[in-house]
Amino acid sequence: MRAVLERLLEVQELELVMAESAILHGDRHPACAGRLKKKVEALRRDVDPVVLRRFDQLRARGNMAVSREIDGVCNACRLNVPKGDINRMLRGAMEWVCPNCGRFLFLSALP
Amino acid sequence: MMDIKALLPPAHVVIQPEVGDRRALWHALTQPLLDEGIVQDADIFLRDLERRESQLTTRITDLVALPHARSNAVRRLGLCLGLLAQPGLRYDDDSDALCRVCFLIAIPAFAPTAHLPVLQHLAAFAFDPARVEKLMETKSAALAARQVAGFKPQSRT
Repeated sequence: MRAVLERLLEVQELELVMAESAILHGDRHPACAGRLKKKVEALRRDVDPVVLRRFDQLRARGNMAVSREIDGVCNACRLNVPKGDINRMLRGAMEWVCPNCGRFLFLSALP
Repeated sequence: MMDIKALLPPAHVVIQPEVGDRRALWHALTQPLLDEGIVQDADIFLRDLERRESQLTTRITDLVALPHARSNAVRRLGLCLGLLAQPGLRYDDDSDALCRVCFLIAIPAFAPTAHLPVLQHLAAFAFDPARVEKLMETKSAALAARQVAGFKPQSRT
């Protein structure tokens, strides 16, 4: 799950950069914009379509689909994630999803 | 368009900072945000600025750059303005253009799109050459902050 979420974090960041670029540059950097777009497409290709669909739904709902867990706190909703849930996620017994906001949760601790 | 006044008090305007390169400029512009606790760790924030810049330049005209980055070191949205003395600063390796106006935006990682209205406002400002020219001549931080905040972009039709 870690590798998938790392990939989705990168997609999320690059899509935000593309949104920024549309405001800042419009069509003035077609080569750079094209390079970013291709990178996003390549990253998306390797993700399970079901996960990707959920990612897009979350992005459409509030821009942030993947959040980082830092010191037991979800960085998107800023609420505590129970330690037991984190342990279950690390064991693979639970999806890596914030139990409070429903976003994908990238855990800082290694399993 | 949003109200920039609260984000850009005169204390966030740095007139003619003595800097030799882009990183030193970013550092000078981060200092007011650090002093107010908006940025908690300058090194992490500067690293995040560098990473964002490597994805796509934030220089939008020859004279104006809008560096920004999402960072875990940022507590809330922050904006700082730097006005460089002539001849300006070479901002990009791939361009000889000399930057004279730099708006630095600190974005908290938990609110990754909070800055988009600010970017829209500042981009519209940057594409108004007369406004930029007037801003570059300003010697007062309060006046510079007022010029930016008071700017009302024309709606695009």
